[in-house]
Amino acid sequence: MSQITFDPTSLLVIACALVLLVLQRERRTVCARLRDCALSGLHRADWRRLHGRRYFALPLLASALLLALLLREQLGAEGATAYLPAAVMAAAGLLLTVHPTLGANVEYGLAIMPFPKAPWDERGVWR
Amino acid sequence: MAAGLLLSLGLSLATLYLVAFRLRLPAPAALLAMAGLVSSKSFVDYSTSGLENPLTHLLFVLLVAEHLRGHEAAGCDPEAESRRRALRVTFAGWVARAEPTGHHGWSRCHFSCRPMAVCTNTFRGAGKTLVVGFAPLLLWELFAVVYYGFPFPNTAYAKLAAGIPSSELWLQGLATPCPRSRLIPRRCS
Repeated sequence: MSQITFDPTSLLVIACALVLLVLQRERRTVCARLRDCALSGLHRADWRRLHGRRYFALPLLASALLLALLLREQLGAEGATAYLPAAVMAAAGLLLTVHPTLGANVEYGLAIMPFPKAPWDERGVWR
Repeated sequence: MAAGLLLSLGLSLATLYLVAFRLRLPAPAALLAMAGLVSSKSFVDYSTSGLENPLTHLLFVLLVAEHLRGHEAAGCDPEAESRRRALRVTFAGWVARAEPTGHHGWSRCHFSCRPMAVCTNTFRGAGKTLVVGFAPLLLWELFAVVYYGFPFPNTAYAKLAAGIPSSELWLQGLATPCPRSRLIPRRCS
């Protein structure tokens, strides 16, 4: 799956949000709507098609908001430990993603991707 | 080209600003959301692409912010609540206009329409709010029919004429508003 290889952070955020939603049994309307957005995106995005990743952007945004809303009370406490999840998320983005967005330089998107050119690799195909 | 990219960048920064400061999240929670977003290639790559993603993201966050504000202030002032509801529908209308062929359009629309339909006292009021809120989409459709000769983007017609039997397309179309439905098998589009 190109998305797992190319951009695992998106899937990680979506999975965390959905799992946390199930564990917390959150029933607020806004959470239910965000969950629907995340699920519908996952369901309909073609993971290998040209611009396939574009359709992950909105489910990702919905999931990131969902994650923040679900952890709002737990992370509301004072102290440095409250910032740990954000640090873990940033570290996961840095470690799991090939050529991560954080710390990217001018070469981001140039011909350094270690994958064969495929329709889902827009930057590789359209250089 | 450069103007489009700059506009995309500005809209994406506005989206991040709203996530950070307008959703009334504590700083660690807002940072968590932002860390997830800026670490994702899906979000970052298309935030400056010049496509409709940045506008859709901004409108979506505005919709969520308005939803949260309305939820927190529910029952305080019926008139203010009605205004907020109308604003939410307007955002949904703009989102529907920004990405008419989007795969998530229905989810975003019912994001605001379902609570509104439940809360609005009269059908007339609901209908008026819907018409006003979705006016951008309706006006665009009118313009598209007059100027282009057809109401939907040409990508829709290209996909509809791909040789898939219409019976299957109708079933998929019926399944679209119900993302959780297991009655109709779906395939990736």
